[in-house]
Amino acid sequence: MNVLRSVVRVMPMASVQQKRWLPVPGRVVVNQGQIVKATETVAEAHLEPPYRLINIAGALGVSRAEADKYIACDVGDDIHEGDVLAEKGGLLRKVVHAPVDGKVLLVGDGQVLIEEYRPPWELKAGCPGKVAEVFPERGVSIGVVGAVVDGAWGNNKVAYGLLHVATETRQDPLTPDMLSVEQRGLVLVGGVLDDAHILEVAEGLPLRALIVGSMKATLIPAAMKIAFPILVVDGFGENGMNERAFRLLSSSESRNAAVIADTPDFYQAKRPAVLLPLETNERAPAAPEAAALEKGVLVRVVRAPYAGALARVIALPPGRVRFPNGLRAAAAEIRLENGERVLVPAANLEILVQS
Amino acid sequence: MMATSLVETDSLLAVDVGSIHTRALLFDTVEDRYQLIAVGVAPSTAGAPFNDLREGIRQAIEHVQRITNRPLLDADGQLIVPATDDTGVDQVALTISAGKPLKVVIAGVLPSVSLRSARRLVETVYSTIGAQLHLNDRLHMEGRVNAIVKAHPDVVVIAGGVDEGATNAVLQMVEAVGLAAYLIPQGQRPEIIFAGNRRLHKKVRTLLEGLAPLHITPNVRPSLTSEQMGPAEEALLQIFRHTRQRQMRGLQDWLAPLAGRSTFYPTAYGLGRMVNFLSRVYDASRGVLGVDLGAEATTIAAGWDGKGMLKTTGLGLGSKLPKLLRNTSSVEQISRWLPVAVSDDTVVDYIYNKALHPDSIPMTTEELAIEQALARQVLRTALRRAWYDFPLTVKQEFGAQFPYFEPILVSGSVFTKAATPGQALMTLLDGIQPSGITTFVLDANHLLPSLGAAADLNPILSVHVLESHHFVPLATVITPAHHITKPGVPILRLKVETESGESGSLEVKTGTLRVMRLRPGQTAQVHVQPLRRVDAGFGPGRRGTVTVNGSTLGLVIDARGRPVILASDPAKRREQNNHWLQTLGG
Repeated sequence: MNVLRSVVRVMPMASVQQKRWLPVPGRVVVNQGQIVKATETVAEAHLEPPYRLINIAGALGVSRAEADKYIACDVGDDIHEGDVLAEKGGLLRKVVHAPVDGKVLLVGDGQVLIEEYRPPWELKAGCPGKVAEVFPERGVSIGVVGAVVDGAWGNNKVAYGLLHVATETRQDPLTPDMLSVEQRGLVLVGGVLDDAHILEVAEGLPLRALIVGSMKATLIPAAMKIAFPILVVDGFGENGMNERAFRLLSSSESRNAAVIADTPDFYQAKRPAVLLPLETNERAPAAPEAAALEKGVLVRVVRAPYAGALARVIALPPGRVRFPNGLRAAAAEIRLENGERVLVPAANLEILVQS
Repeated sequence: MMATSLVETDSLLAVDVGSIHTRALLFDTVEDRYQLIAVGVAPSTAGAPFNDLREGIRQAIEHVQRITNRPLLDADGQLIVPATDDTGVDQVALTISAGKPLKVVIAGVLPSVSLRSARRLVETVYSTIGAQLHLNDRLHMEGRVNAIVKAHPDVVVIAGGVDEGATNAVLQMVEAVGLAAYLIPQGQRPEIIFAGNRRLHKKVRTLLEGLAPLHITPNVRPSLTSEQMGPAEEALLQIFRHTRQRQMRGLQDWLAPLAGRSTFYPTAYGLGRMVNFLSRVYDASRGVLGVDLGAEATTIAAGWDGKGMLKTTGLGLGSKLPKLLRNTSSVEQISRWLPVAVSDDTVVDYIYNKALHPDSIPMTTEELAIEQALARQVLRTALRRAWYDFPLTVKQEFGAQFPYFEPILVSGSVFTKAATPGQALMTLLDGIQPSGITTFVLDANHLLPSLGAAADLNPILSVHVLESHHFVPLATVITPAHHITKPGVPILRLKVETESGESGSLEVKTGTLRVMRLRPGQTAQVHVQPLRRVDAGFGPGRRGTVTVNGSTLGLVIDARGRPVILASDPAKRREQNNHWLQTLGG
């Protein structure tokens, strides 16, 4: 049974449709076909509801029915903080003022509902390109031509900046001496992130973004609090980056990189990615989103004991194979880059697409 | 003659769409009895890259076709319904656990009464509660309205006021929901279930009708001491069905040609139905427990003489694994179950990597041990939550002790596809920590949810298949309840006499697991004599005799105490865990 599976793209040249999703329904503010910059807003939404319900009856000390006659605003009114919403005269004069700038949505039953004028949260393009598709109220797809490196995890932030590779090899951990004021504002690439102190130093600079091959999962809470994007290419632990991705990023020193460090979402087909756009009229192959596991494909192993290793599929034995720990599963025979042939569960392989 | 007149000879295809696997199960009559004919399995395609569940369903059905040589799909790949000339099937029962949980807001009056019932209601389907509103929530109207709007719910459930009881407090909640619905753009508004004080039906209709789809049902809490979920559950099921059809590409198109010949439920609901049914069949003094540990959710279903309880928790062994650490358990609570030395950091890395690749399989002994340790902790957490919803009579009878259940029905590949039966049982014994005398039965083909759904169309089919050999008795376990921390203290004596005349006896000491082999097909009388005032299932200090049927592992006596007493020294603890596992065959 040959089922299509999601792929990991490490492509020096591809035409990518990068989806950008709002976290809650909102408004898309660009049009299909529009050229956008990385820092341009493509959609917006209120993450916190902007509604204020003013209890006029309670403030004036009257019944709800009576309160309506004291209300001094109408549906549709633009109001400013301090404007009078209601006033009750007499010996004990009472006035209710608007607490915020906003628009009156509803009036009645002793209450006034205001939609506060508050700037919405903005979804940035994250990478320069052309808006390929608009998904109303949800987001856009941006067409980009250039290199792409798919990641495994991100801390839900985006940035765009110049790339710099800090570590010599794909498995080297980042160390404090690799972070200096010269790296300020750069997109830094390293093999392994295993020290919380690195994040403190990076935040102090600050970096524009951080791309690592692997990261200790215990650093996730700290990574989520960091203001710049952190993108983990291969997974959690200390295995470093897969060799293809490291080579591609290393050959891209000083290129502009879009780091879209989305936290993966299985149902929304969301995953983090590094894009290195090119200004070119050259046609590029479409970056595939799925491929079949078959003989000859390049794969990355996602679980021990070969986690992070790259290999080629040699055979797909029928039925289920018994592994040394006693479990049975559909298997693939693969040849690792050191020449060793091993059997692994087919479910433990990700297809790596290079072209 | 009775059986023949009840058996309609309609064939049925059950399809279960999980987040990792899609299964197709073909049932048909063989000599006037319904049997499971074949099972096809394929990777689910509800998520990326397909985002269309039809491909996984098609592949699973094709698998059945290959096994049976029976054409089920036509040239266009559509299911042939009804059956004609040995092709196609007559009926289809669909169950789904895949998909994002329903986003729910619940509103009630008192947290321990109406809100609790509303929560129990929504936990019968796969859901996540975005906001809980009640009289004591310290929110004014504005706060409640904003909480509902922020949650972007698919469903809002309003409960509260027993019938002839509170009205003003309930109306406050109704107003908040109505205002929130008004503010949410038309196409995004939630469906609303009002399951509160029946005196308010007219008022609720006036306030909410026209704003959002409204379902008014009988009160889930008609009085302080009674709960009635049935009608509200039906409304929630309806909402689940059309929300899924809206959200999951391909589902509506796949179901449309099957109208009138199909049924569709959440997988958990199907399980709950069967457990409830079985609780009327088995010993009424004990409950029946069903446990399904999946990738995205763990379902606990329990029944006591037809009075059922169903709870889905958003805890599983797939993408939701990190929740176990974030909300419920510490790393130590997981690693205490390991028989091998593994650093806490390695366990945490494993959890997050498994969440990234939920369909991946442990290949090393170390990773398998971690997976099974996680399964234990997921089970313990899910059961702890479920315990709160056990009937009061059961909690009063057993206190802090885990109630008696017989049998305990288990599904989830960590058990049904375990490397050895011993590993499966060890994970269950540590995770559930049963008491009394109970039989663990493996549902290897994940049949129960499908049978629960199929019962709508063909109840006889469900009964026939329950009686078949597809449910595998794993072991009968006797657990003498005690808190003796000192190991090696004799607490139980057993004498076993098989019907073939073999006999044996055993003295059981604290801190041990003991096994007496009793093969499938064998039956034995087991005479149990407590040596101290321990309760081995007959009451404190009381002796008794039980008939035990043979199973894969036979008769197991778990004298490790409740809760299981683990050594505080990590090396000794690993030795303990290893020793117990080896006792069960490794």
